[in-house]
Amino acid sequence: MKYINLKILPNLIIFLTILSLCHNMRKDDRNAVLNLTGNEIMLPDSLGFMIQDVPVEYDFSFADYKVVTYIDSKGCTTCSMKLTLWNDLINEFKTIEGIDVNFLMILNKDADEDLISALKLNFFRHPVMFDPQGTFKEKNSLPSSPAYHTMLLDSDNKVVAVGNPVLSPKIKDLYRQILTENGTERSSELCQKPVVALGVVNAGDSVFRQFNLVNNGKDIWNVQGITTSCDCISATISSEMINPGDTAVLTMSFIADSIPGYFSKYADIYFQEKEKSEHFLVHGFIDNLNINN
Amino acid sequence: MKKKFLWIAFATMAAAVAVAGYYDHSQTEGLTPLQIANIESLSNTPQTPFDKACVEGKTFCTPNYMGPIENSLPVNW
Repeated sequence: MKYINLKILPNLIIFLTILSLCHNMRKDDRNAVLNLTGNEIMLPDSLGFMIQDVPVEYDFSFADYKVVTYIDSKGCTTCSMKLTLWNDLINEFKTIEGIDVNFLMILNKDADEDLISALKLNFFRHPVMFDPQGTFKEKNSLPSSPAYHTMLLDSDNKVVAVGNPVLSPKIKDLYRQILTENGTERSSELCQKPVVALGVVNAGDSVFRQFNLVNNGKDIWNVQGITTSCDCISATISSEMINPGDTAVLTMSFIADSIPGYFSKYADIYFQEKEKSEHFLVHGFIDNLNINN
Repeated sequence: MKKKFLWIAFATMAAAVAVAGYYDHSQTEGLTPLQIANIESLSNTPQTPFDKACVEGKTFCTPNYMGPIENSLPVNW
């Protein structure tokens, strides 16, 4: 009997290990997902939205999907913010056509000089809410672990998925899969960063941004035409023909109309050699303070 | 004797498969495919990378200033 046990035990362990790994799940992760998914997330009414140190009007709920992240005051807040990674991720998700994705970072801190400096130095021009009392966490009964303080919400502000996409490519892929179910991902072949966050623009002001279009291929690209999303956007390209190895510069100008709040405007460049256009987008907030004054 | 041993081995393995299958089923019972994918993506993510090092005053960030020095080698500040 002793002989049989010794022989069988390794087999048993191997089988159990292999099969229990079919679904690799941590208990805490399971509980967090079970408890949070489907819950409606409420924002504290008393707190306003800011772009760096400028208050803005922002209809966070008015979007097909939203990503909300809560950074608590434990430890190093500026480290947990991961601003440069968020910048890239937000711009990446903004390239998905056919859906609107809104973002919000809620900081469990006062808007002190260090935090504002961090936002400015990292060129973080996306909405932030300062919540020193931790109202957001309390109101939504969030778990204590920061791993579950970032969520993807649907149009009704209900939690669709949990997890921080800037800390894990697995979670980022999951978010992207959900978003691209209803939208189409557009990647640029010529430009590494086809999306620019302008931040706050005063009503009536005119701003411009330049995009480098680099032809790394072997074929010549001939510009067929440029279309824009509105009259408030104009776009010009430095060269009508981009030879292999050459770079052309697209200059996009945006004149802020008088409607305050969030805007997202684009220009499409069509090439004779390509079926799909190259898509360039600027987004930000129009501030109406000048008009009110 | 050899035949008996093989039978016992087979029976044990079958039991192991059943137990493991039940365990796996109980983990995913009542979950949607999206929730399963979500839990798996969370479980495959180490919790709070970088931050611990920062809190402990070690290497990866400059606390209370610019945030993390992304993609850089550890530097003692």
